Amino acid sequence: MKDHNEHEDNVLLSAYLDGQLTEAERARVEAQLSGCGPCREEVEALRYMKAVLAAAPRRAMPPELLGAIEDAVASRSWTRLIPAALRAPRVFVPAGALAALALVAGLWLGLRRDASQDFIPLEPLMTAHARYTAETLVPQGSLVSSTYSAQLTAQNDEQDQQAD
Amino acid sequence: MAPKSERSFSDLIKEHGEKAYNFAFRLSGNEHDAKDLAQGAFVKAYEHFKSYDPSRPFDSWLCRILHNIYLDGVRLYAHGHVVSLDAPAPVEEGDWDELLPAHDPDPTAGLTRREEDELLQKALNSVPVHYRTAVTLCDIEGLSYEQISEIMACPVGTVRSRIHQGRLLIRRAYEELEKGGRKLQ
Repeated sequence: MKDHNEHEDNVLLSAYLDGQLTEAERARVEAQLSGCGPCREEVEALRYMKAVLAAAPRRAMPPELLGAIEDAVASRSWTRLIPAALRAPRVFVPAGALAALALVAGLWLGLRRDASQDFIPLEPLMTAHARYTAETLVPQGSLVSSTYSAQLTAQNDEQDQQAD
Repeated sequence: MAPKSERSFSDLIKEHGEKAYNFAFRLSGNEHDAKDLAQGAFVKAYEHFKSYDPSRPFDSWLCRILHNIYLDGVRLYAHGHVVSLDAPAPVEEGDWDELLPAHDPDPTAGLTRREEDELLQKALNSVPVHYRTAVTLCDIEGLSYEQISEIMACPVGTVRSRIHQGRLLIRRAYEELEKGGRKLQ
């Protein structure tokens, strides 16, 4: 015969007391109880503890708690006024925030734009053009200044002759 | 499904408030935390009322929310302390003396009803939370094993085991406390 501690069904003793066993389990536990004094003692100890717990006084809800709960719930209720369509899933929140940020940035840049910038100033363009023209005269093969001067003199002479 | 009106949810608070508070008190062991737990559970229930299945008991759903809030709090606390929800109960170690007050040499004086309840709460507090929850829901709140398995999100077989082990542990703690009862005063 098995020792009390070797009984595999000891865990069922509480369920037996609570009427939470199947017929087969109940029969097995009752057979175990009929042949094991320590098991019967354990059942009685469990029955006693169950009774003590069941007789424990109910803790009354503090009077102020009811009002506190109702206030807390009411403070959450305003969110129900927001239409469901506006309560987008959280996954869209970052995308929506980025889109809104881009829109605001675009509007700000557009308003900040100066009307005087609508035409291109001619002076810098003309300066650049003159510089470009002068630089095309620079011989590409050599940048030595004496050579450049000689070439420029020859070019001027040639233009003078053509003019004559 | 949303509550039909603020009034209908208010009715639910009135109807189930005491049960929620009592369960919260037995779980946390003190009035301050019990208030916070009960309030947090109702607020969360209100916010997630769409997920409530009206064919199921509201109190089971509410207790499940409350239990989850409590476990979250315990886990948060455990993050900075050496605490485990699944820590084995100190059955084999036999170190109840570290947990419970010393025995009184003359424990003959009877305990009042209030003192008995204080002893019971101390015994409940001394066992791991899963056992405390299962036993509280079964023996104090009178729920079925199926309802407890829903609240604790575990199989009925686990509920059986937790209730059994929990009762044994609470009984042992309660007896030790009874012997040293006068030391508690």
